[in-house]
Amino acid sequence: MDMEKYLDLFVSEATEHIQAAEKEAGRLQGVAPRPESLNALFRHFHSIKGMAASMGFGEIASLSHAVEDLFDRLRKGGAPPGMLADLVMEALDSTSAMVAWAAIGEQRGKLTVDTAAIIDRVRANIPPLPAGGALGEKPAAPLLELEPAAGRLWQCLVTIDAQAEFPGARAALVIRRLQKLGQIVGTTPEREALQNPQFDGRITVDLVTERPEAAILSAVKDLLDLKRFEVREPPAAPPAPLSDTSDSTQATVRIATATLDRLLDSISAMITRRGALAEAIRTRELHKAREGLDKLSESINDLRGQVMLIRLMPFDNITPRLTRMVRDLCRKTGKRVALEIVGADVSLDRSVLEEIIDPINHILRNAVDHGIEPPATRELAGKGAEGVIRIDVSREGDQVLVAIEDDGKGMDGDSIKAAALAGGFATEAELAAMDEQQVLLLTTIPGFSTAPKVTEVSGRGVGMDVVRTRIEALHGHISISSRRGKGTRLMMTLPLTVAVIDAFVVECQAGLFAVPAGAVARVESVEPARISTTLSGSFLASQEEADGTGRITYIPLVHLDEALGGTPAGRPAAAVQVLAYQANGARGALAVDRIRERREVVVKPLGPPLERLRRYSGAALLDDGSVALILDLVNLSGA
Amino acid sequence: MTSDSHSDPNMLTVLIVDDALFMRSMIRDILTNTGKCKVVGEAANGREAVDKYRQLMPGLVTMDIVMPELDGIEATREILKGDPGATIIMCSALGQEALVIESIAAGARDFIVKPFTPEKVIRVVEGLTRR
Repeated sequence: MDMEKYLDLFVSEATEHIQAAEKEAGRLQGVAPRPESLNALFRHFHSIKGMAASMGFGEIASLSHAVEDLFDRLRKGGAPPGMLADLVMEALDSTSAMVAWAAIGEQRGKLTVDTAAIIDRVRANIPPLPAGGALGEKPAAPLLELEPAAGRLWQCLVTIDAQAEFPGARAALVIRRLQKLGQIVGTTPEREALQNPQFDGRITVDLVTERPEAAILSAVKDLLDLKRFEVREPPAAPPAPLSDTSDSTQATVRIATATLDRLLDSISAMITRRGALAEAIRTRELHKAREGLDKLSESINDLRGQVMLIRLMPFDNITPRLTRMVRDLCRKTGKRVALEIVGADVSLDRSVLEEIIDPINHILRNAVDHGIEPPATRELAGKGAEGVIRIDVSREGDQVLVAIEDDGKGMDGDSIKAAALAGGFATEAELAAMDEQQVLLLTTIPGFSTAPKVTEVSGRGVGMDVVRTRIEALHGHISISSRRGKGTRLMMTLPLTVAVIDAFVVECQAGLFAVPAGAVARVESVEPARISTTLSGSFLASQEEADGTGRITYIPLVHLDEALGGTPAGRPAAAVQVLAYQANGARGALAVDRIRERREVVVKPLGPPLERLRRYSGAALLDDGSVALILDLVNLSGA
Repeated sequence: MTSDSHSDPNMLTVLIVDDALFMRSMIRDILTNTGKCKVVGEAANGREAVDKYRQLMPGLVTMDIVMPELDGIEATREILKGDPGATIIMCSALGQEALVIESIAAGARDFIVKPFTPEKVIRVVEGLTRR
């Protein structure tokens, strides 16, 4: 369409609006603006915007649109910014200059006015809406007046073309047409959603009508931008609502829109970077491709970090349940217990949090049932009648520590040993070699129980073996310490998140394995001279750096093949790759044939029955499609 | 208005309502160029639109929303009160979707979003005349 012939008209009419607006703006000086002035100014800029947009004068349209928005907000009760008159005058001057340039056919874009800066200034001065909504704004008019109707219920599935302008208004036209056939008894989403800019063009309309299906179809068939329209009879009965009494933490997440915006930003960045990478590959520029890959990885990390944050949930979310349970237990056992929770504001991945509810419950049951003594016994022992269970949650790097401590009678190492011997869980020689920690951990062997009788509270449900299995399935660890007469402390070390871990991918005769990097203190190539081999095994001589003394310590060294059941290879002939680690307080070193790479791996749980293999905490799928089992260093060294 | 403007039964008679002469001229040209429309009148605000509608009884009204005196939505309501069969399409601008939805509830038959192009206008007008 040839717009040149409208140019004169545009210039003269826009100039009229500018002059009238200048006059109104002059009245704003130093006084509270009157509603008539605000309305008039709104209309002037609205008119200029519409004409400029039609002429293709983008800058004029954008500027007048910004001022229009400003006055729209002001006339709805927003507080006028200081220097409003100056701001409007400045906008009018620029508009006027741009219109003048346009009048002589000067190319837009080569203007001396910095439109963008003025637009920013205007937009920055748009006040927020007053609390309680817009003043003087009419309450939303009902979209449709309902008329009584009878007939059959139909579900109309409406899809408006995604490219359509104002899809909500298009949908409103469809609803209006259907309305004429009978009565609309409901829509999904609600009709109010049509005005939402996020409305995606899909709406289901429940219509009661006596008219046949063909009449419904033909009522809407000529409507524009109606991409799909289907009519069907609704399901016989509405689906039963999902039970919300389920024991697990709710599976839905409320996300702030600002967070969603950030996610979208990250994804946009990824798309851009993917484009750059594709371009570099197409032009075979290796350097650029590497750079592009780095940038893309950066975006992915960024996105992952954001999603992880969304998944975090404070420990506090489960404390009401724990408190309730302890209270119930006290009532059943006649004991008195105060539950103290410290660090409830520490956040964990929601799936970790869900998974640790049962183990914590069980530990609390044990503490109340076996740990805390009856009030009379406690008083005899010089303790307060009320026992104390303390849950201490803290964060350490990318791990969360949950300590559960009671001031009860503590665990009896001798009884545990006796029960282990009697039950055939360990030989006398094995027991003799065990330290206190290992003895206490015997209680986590399946089927092990020292309880003289199965009491109502802790004899059922998960046992300590299940507690340990659950925690390890989350790539966590459990340790126990206890002092007779003083109490027991269980410590759970949990990863902040479960889905992805940083790991070394290593090779040995047995295949490919992943070692969680969190536990690895350092990686080095070790000369045979530094390795001493004795009858009890190999040791790596290592200079102590941590305490600055520089003294030599010897760390147990084992080759991965050996740890997995192969025969000891003795001292290697050449330098070997070694990962020095610290797991559950114990230090060790693992020799491997080759360290392939350090990378992030997505952890897949092994599932039953493989999850019983304590040496492995999961499996990781690698880029080439091969699978690496993820080593559990604590259980690997302890085995 | 000459009497023959209503005489050709194949021509759709149109009343253009917009406070900007510029917009009215553009819409007039676009509609006239289709060869199917005859612009029988123009109005620069809602009050004028209601009066002109009663006089001319056009087959179609293009209605701007933001106007002095009486806005387009109110004018639509008044026109439909007098003639429930009136065909009114709204001329709206970006950011006015809520007003358009309100107009549809008031009885508007369709809408066009500015900036206007002949394609947009023709598409809507042809959609209406097919009915």
